Amino acid sequence: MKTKDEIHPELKQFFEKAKKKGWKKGQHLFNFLDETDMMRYDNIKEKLVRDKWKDAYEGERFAREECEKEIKQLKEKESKLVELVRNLECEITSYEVETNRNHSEIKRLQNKLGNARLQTINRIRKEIEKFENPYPKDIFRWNNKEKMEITRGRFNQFAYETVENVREKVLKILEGRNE
Amino acid sequence: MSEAEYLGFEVKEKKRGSFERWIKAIRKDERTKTLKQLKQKIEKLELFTFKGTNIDLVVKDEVLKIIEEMEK
Repeated sequence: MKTKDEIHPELKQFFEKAKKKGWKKGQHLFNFLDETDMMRYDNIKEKLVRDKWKDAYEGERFAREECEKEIKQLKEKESKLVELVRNLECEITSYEVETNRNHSEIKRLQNKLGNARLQTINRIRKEIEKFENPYPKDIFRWNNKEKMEITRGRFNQFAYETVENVREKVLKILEGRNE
Repeated sequence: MSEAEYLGFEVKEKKRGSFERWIKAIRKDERTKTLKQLKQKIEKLELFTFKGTNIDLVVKDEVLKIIEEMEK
């Protein structure tokens, strides 16, 4: 590792020369070198400083380029992500639209089916209501004076009521199913 | 009051039991007969046809099953 006091190899020759003329650490080289050597020393030092800055600049440029490269990659990733999110959003939206459409279609079909069922049940109900009771309703012409235990009229009334009860029961069950 | 008396029949005490059985038998017969006739009527019934569904046949079967259940 370089120390602060270490002299650069390219400048070392000038210090050697100056040492020979009595130069000591802390003194200015100007008094111990001739004009040509001094100029060469200055040029080399200037070049070294320039190189140092150049290195720093190159380093910075490299770092900047790396950063830019990384930013570019990140932006590409971001745009891909944005595209994915948009596609996903589109799919979610279309799925929602499709689902809503399906729900409303199912509801419509359920209503249609419900109406069809209702119409069929009503038709059957009407047929049951129309069913003709084979016994007359208004015949009560039995003779109470006779000792006969049952008359035709009473029997008719009883049978008529039985048929009507059965009809009512069927209709009631149908009504219960219809609700 | 017995069922026969409720219906207005004059029943002698001796014959009360057999008369009640007779009434029950008639009720059962009439009930069976009516259910059978209703069943036949519904079986013969030509229902509407709903496009794309067989709901009419399904409902018809349901009603026939209800009647069959009542017949048991």
